[in-house]
Amino acid sequence: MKNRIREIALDGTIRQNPTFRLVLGTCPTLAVTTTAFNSLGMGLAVTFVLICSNVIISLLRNVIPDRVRIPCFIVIIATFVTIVRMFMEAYIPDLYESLGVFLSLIVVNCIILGRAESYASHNPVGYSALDGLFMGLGFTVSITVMGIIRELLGSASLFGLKLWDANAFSIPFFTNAAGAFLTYGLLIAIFNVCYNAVDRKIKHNQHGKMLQSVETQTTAKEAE
Amino acid sequence: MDVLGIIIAALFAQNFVLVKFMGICPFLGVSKKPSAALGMGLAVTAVMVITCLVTYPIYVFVLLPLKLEYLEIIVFILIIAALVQMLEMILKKFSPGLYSALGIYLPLVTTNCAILGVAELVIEMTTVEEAHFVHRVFNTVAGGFTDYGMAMSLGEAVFSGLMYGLGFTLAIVLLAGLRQKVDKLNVAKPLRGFPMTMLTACFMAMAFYIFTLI
Amino acid sequence: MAQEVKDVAAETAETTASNEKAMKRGTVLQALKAIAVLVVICLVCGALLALCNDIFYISPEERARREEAKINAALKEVYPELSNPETVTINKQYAANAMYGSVKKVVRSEDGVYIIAAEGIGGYGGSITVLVVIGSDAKIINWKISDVGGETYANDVSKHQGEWYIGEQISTDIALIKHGGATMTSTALNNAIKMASYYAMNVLNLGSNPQKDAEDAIAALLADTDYADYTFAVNSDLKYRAALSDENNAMSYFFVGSKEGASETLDAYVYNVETEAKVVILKGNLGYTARHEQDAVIAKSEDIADELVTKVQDLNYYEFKIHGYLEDFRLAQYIAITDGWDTDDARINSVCVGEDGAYVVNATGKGGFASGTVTVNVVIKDGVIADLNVESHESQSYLSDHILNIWDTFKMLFVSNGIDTKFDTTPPVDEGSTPGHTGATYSENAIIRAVNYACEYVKSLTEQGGTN
Repeated sequence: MKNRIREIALDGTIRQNPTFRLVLGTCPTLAVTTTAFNSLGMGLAVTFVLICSNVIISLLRNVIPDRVRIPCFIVIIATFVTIVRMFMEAYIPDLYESLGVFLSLIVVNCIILGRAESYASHNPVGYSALDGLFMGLGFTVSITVMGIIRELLGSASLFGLKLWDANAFSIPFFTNAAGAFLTYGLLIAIFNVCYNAVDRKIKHNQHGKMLQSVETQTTAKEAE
Repeated sequence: MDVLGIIIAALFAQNFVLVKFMGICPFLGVSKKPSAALGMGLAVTAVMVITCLVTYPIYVFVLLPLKLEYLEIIVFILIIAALVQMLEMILKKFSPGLYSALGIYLPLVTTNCAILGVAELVIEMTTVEEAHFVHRVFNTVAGGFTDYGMAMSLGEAVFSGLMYGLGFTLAIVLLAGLRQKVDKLNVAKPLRGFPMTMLTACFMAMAFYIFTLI
Repeated sequence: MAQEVKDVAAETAETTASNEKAMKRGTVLQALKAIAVLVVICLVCGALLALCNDIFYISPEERARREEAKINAALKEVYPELSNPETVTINKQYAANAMYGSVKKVVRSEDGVYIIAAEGIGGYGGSITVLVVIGSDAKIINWKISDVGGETYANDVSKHQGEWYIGEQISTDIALIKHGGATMTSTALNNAIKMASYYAMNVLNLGSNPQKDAEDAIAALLADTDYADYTFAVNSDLKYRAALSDENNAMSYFFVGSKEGASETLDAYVYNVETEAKVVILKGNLGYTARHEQDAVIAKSEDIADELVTKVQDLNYYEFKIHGYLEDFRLAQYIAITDGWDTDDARINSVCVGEDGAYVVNATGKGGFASGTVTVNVVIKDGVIADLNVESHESQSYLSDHILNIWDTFKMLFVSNGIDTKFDTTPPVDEGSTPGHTGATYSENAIIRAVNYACEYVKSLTEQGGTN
């Protein structure tokens, strides 16, 4: 069981990192990462929805008939998204305003529906919750990193704190749409490089069997 | 109706994909071949128009008067899912040719955030304008049915939907065209696949940025 | 990723397919169960949301407080010296303008500085709201975009808030600053600044106030007995008043026009002939009009303005000319021309009555078959032609210049004759026929016809109402 939890944690945060490995949930990744704070807020909101929806869907997995499962999942997800939205509007109005429409668009974030479909609907509640947690953390950390990079370079600040004079050095390009694509593309590449290096090392040390599957997955991705 | 303004804004200056970051998943995923990209784009456009046509009146005449705005997301996503299913069935029955061209992309459209995005955007515009013109009781479509000031009419909403859809189509077809060349380039291994696509999109976004300065 | 999405899609498609099969097989019960589950889930979720909606309820007061806090923070940011901000009640009459936008909020600081939140129209996604700080010296101290509306790239423009417009005198003619061709956003910003200026000038008595100045000028002119105030009704919904001035030895006209339409009123239009300045001032009777309707209103207002200019020029051009030639002329009354004074031979353009009872008739005569017209001013005093001058001529014959050269002699043919005199036209120059007085037959005939017609007109007037 310990092993399984470790697997889930590794899968969610690294091996199947939704942002850099699976390239899912790209819309918020590109749109809200102009500042680190927004990214963190978005990541936590997604994590919350992911955990809740995974738990509920896992609980109801034997009740929901197969043919209406997608609408059911969507309704459940939408409910939690609405709750997050209400919560943010009531207690963190600044974040609510800066995330704007992307808060509602968590509903159609492929990560959530993807996890519901591929994990929560076949697995027990506990593991589903953990899967949601780690997938969400993977997403949160990834987009926060991206937010930090874009905020540092684009507006010379970090989590809203001015670090140096933006007029002296800043590249406003990074706060633009094009800058988002550039940052994301390069981060995927860097993540791939690191991942492959570490992967090769582990394989070398352990002749790791299980990582083979991930390797094939990666090649499949690249082929695509 | 400010037709030209809506057209320029929707196609270029506020392009759904390259400026507003909506519908990125199909933009990256279904852009390997221009023909597939065109099919996806048209499917999205069709669903967007119908979505605007249906969600706008439902929001204005049902949710707002009943003070059920908080059900907006659930209602919209269900409507979109149902619409996509219906459109699929109708196409299958009455236009098999069109169905074979667009059919396989339709189910993908449900989880495309561009669709929910356009519905939310139209609603947002409506309510923002309402706030601006809060002193006024101005009935357009309703003709006395409701007291909400609607600066954006149903016609404008649907037209915006159409134009945003075409903006999406434009972006995805352009990217597919570029990828025909880019995918064949011999680049460093870590850059292959998504990173290269992102970099291509980066240059497209730069080009579209110019339109925002018109 | 796309693969996964596709899988989902494929499964959905499969589900639909299997749905149909199931229905055909008649397992209605199962379908009903599926629908029941979906409905139950929807209901439960709806109920949960209703509950959450109550928990996270934001009261209208709270919303208002947040809005207020946001506004105050924004005000403080745009004008750090702000103290004891006091919200001033907006004067509705000037709060909206079809060409610039509308004023949403006016705040007065203790030191007499005003901050106006003005919405400027003309952007892509609608309008942008700008906070404009105006000092008591009517100069713009600072500005900041507070609400970008649908303008994604208003941020690009707001980078320049430290440089543009600052220190400029408020005016509705403030020049548009284009930012790398970002016309739409710049236009909206410019309109917001203009709107704030317009409001500050008209309501807060800051800086020059074109409309008030014009009204004062007109009032002063009207008080002056030398000049006449006359009101014309051009048609049922277009009215204007005009006054004439020769201040600084130059001629100017001031007009105040008003046109009432179904939903809008053009309240003031000032036209100054001397400087050729036209100042269109629209009072805020446009109310709150939707953006797409405002364009139509603006277009209509411009039409009205043009219409006024045309009327102004048509009707007063002649008086202007008369004044130029009869320096001691003091206008007492302007007589509207009744229909029918326009024949193939001549027409009456305008008639003025001076304070001494003299009529000045501006008439145009046509010179036979050859083309060309001559417009003359005929001064008729006590039933006798007192003076005559050529205002303009269109004759293509070079001979008309000849007439002008010998004008002082030529006009004596008419002067001192009573209005009952009918001057004979000379027959066209044919071989053997006698040339006219000057040899310039066509021009001469045109003048004769104009004078005859003018006399006829004055005669009809005296017959109608009796002269002074």
